[in-house]
Amino acid sequence: MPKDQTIIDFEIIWKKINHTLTEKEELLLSQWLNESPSHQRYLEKAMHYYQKGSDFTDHKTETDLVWNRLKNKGLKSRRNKSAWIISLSAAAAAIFLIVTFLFPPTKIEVTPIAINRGELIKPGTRQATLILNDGSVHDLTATKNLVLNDGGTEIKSEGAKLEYTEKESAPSETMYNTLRIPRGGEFFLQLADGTKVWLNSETVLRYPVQFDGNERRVELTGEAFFEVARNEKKPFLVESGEQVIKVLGTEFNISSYKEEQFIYTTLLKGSVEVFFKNKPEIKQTLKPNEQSKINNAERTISKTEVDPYQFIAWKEGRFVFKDENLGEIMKTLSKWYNVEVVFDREALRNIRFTGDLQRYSDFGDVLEKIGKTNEMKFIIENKKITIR
Amino acid sequence: MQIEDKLLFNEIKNRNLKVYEALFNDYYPHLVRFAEGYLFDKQECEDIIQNLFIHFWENADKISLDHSVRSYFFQSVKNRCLNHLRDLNIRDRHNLLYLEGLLNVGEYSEFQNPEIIIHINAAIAQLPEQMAKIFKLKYLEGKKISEIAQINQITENTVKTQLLRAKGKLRKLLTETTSLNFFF
Repeated sequence: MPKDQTIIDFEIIWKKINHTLTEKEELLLSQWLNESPSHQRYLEKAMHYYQKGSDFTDHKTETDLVWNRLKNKGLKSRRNKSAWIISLSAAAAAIFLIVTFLFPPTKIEVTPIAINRGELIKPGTRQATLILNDGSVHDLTATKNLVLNDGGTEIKSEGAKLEYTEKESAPSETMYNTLRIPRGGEFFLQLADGTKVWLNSETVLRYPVQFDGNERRVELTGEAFFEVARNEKKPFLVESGEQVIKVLGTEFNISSYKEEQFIYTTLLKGSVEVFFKNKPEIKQTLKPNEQSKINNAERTISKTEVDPYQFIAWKEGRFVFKDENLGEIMKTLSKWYNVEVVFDREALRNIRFTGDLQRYSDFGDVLEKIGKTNEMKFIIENKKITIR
Repeated sequence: MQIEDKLLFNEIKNRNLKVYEALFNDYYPHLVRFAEGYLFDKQECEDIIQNLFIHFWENADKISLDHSVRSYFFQSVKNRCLNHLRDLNIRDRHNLLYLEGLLNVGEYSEFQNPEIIIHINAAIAQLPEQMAKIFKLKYLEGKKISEIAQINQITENTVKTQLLRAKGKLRKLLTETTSLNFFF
């Protein structure tokens, strides 16, 4: 358990200001105060605010000033959807402007290079855990070869690939296997019908060993790219939480992480239908270069046109970010590199980046590339990255 | 969603800068005050809200609004403030900060909870007469400090002091009653 983890309720600060703290609470407060200068600053600001009131005047001139700055440096009146490939240097110019505008001039750090204080953080590797129908667990890595038989289907694992081949006629009940990819992992799987699946970090796929019946149905949590083998008689369905996708034969990417509020499905080739498990009549049909977004909280499905490359680039060994904010970028990177990322300043989450990076670089290299275009500092301690 | 909000939202999605400017002028001061109730740091609040305006402008076509543009902004600011506080290891289980934000905003309609409004009004009624008058002029009618000073024939400093004391009393009144349960 890291040492800097005292959590206080605002009530303690409130009581401190009103001089009604108990001894125990005083101790807790001191502990919290000592853990970071930002905590001390917060207390000072709170006290100042309660005694003197707000520093903010709602004078129109001040609002006008802020608007002018926003207009000139932050808001573009026309967005260019087609030209997505902006070179990193051009993006750096735009980002730099926003950075100097948003950050108060007194606090700019001038060392953008990652400070490496621990082991080198390596990129993900091809690894997965396979759970057979009988519950037996097998570790799959690039260095092990495995041949198994589950109810008449041969399962071969060699290198980073898991392949299923139907051998005998189908058994009476459907048998399921589950493939789990940990953080820092990726894997490739070929199902019994020839469908190819690329699986990203923190992903679980549950699928029947053989596809009997009149449909092919699998369950996904996480992210995967599917190249579905064509079979008009047996539509292929992917269940992710409340979303179901139905395809005939096509190529698409699904991003459905449990902690995210949205499920994204991006279609490359073919045609798919996206709908809710319990309400199949509400559906979206996607054509190539279209992406559906399911809002889990609101239970809506919307769709937009996209350039699919940025959403499937991971399968090709690259990270592609198109005007993506650093908060989201770090979410993606932290899964692949299996690290924890902490932002010291809220404003940093919103800095946007555009770029195309190799997935198999060390994390330090990736951070260096990102850090180069900006005034920020990365501090690496074992598996925790702090951005200031 | 009301028709006015649908129209407003459409204009923003169509990148009507003039409309966005009008929206900005209308919301910005209130949002900063609201955020100040959580973070107490004017600069930090301004950063958060400016980022939000940029984010909204650039992602308008991907955002779906529940109630109104106004409530979206207030909700977003609140979430961002809470995230910031989480990073500081501060929680607000008793909704003291939420209350602070509310008192700063003055127009309670978007907070969908009539109980709060009743309690706040009841608390205001318990203030000394002139204090209550000044508080309402500022927070319920949105008058500027200079205007309030003029209307009441007192100095701006007096107005500021009265407001500060009013907020202090209201905070005490509202947190001491068990009605904290109604705040979410």
